[in-house]
Amino acid sequence: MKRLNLALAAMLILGVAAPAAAQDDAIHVPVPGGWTAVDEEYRYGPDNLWEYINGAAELFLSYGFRELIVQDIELGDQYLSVSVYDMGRPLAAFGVYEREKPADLKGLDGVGAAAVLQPPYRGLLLKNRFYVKAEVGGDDLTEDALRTVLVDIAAGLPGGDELPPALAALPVAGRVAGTVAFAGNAFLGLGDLSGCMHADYTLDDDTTYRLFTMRPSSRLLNNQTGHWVTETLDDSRLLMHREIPYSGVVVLLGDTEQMVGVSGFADRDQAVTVLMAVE
Amino acid sequence: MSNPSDREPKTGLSRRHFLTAGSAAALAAATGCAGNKPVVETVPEAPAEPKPARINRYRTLGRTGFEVSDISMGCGSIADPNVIRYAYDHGMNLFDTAEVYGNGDSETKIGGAMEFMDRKKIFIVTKLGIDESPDTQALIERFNASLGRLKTDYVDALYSHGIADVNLVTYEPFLEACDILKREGKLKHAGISSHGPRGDEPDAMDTVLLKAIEDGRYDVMLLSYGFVNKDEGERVLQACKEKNVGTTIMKSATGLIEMPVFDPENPSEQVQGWFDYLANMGVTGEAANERIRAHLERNAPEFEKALAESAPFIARHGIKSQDELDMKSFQWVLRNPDAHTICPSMPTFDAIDRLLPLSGTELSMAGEELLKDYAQSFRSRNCAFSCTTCTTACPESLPVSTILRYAYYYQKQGRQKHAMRKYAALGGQNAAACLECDAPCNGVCPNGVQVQNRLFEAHGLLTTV
Repeated sequence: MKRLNLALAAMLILGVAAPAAAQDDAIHVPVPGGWTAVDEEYRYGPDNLWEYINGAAELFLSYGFRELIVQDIELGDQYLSVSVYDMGRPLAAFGVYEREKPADLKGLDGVGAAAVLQPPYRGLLLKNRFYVKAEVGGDDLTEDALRTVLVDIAAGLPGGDELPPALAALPVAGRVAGTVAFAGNAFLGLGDLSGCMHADYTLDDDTTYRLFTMRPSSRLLNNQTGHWVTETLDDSRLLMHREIPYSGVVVLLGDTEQMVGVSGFADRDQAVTVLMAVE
Repeated sequence: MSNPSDREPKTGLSRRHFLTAGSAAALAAATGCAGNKPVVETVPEAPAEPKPARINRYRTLGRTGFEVSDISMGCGSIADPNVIRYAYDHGMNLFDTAEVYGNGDSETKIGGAMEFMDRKKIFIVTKLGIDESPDTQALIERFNASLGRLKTDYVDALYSHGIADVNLVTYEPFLEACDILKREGKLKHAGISSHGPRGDEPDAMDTVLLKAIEDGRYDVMLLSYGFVNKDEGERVLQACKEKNVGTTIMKSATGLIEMPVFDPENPSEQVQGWFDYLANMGVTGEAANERIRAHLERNAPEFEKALAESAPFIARHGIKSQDELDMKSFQWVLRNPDAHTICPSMPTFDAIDRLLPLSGTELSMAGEELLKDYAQSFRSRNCAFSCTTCTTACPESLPVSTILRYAYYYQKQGRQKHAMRKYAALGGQNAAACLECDAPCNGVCPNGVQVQNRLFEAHGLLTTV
């Protein structure tokens, strides 16, 4: 609530949300081959995204949303509404894509950085800092046709097709396949944990825990909530921990620029042991 | 790749066996870190925290008959099912979500908490958009997918989502789908939500919801209501009371008071928010300081003006944070028995802890005075964009709030060409007509906006070549 307001104010005031439409190199929705644009494109910024998607705007804003460009396109009786969300950076687009992608759907190979078809009426695409939704109206499209549309849109957006390189920062050993994600804010239900890249890990005895990396905010470092216990290690690194309802403790280790954290352990000592080992 | 929360909710962590002392020791031995004795300086443990408050007032949600907590949970950006469980354990019992919130992710998070809640004691609201004119069967299929994500056999209320065209109140495929789902035992009540005009759909919130109340097929609705936007909401609440329709409330918080004083060592709440945001974008340390400092210097005149407007109010009431104002504005709504429950977004445990103490409380006289003062001090700053009161007073029936919104695009968002195109598309329905008008609009804005002056400004911006 409040944090959302503040984040929105930050985006507006710091200019990080300056709409691309005001620039010569503005992003437009790529129109796939054979399709034609219907009417003009619509653009939404952080302050009016709710007009287009109501309360769903909250999730996008929490990831640093910059601009949405919407273009309706048609091909005969087939009709698509294509929404390109410029999330400002690849990690944020990745985070939203992972949140919105149904878990049980298999991804498409060779389409952008990642893509999926969600029957019966939607295709989702991740490409660089862009998250794209293509929603079917009118006559149903075949899966092949919708896939082709996503391929063309991906080709028309700037940037490479690789996943964000930052994801490689999470260690591979012990990681549960398919669990890498990026949380914009409120990771683990804590307002202090924002911008967290995380994944699930298992130990030899099948114990599961969650490991994450983040840049600590000054709010966290200043312990403004009063919930954190802060320790200074003999090598000057900071160790911070607090309890989370139902989930034991979360422990952070690092400095003012970067921290690694774990959650899922019953007490601080267990978590610290694992954290030290991971490091 | 997939979000682990989608597949296995984080509540699962509490069900997993925690790392035992034995396995921790084994790991430590294997990695050679058993002897790492880290602490040389320890800040004393925080004192035991007071027991969190609980919901202590419930109201009947209109003809649904459900006894709803006066504060309930907006689940639009929930990242962790445990937050929902926490709200339930502290007495909240209505959870508001929608298919479109995270493309089902919000519903999935509620589903992740479902096993920890007594289904009979909670009220689940979800919503389906009807912008694409779906048929009945498509709506039923989408609803069934929502049921799967929510891990429940039924939903208490299904809302037609964000309606801004009064003609969609009687969109029969939606109402027919609700009837079928009720007969199948999968749905208890039909409902509707509206935020007011959006895009090319021009109807005000009260126009839409009053029509829905009159229609008689909606048992519950979600509306915007707060002390800064009270007139429309009170018309709807009164009509709901007469027809015994349940009411759930959104957008009750105040606007943002700007207090941008730059002091990196002791940042204001707003500046702290900027630091947090930049950190999230990968900008920290001196780079963040520089960025904020440069911005404040660049926009000094505007900030000074905002500060000058805000300072007397802040000084009069000793306001320290935006949160204080938000809490009082929530209390203002909570005292109205016709507003059955408020649904603020609560993505964190701390947000819940901040709101719980408000349950069952009344706004003090001092609080009342503060809010009145706030309304007087700030209401003329902005058009709310969500009502059409001024349009009804305009002899030319100009879409005033739409024009002011285009001016906002131009001035605040730098979308000059876009704003001018949109304005031009209005054709003759533009503010040139105001030149010959004696401005009956100027006295009608509930926010105190001097409408004609703003329209002149807008016309100048949006027609300059």
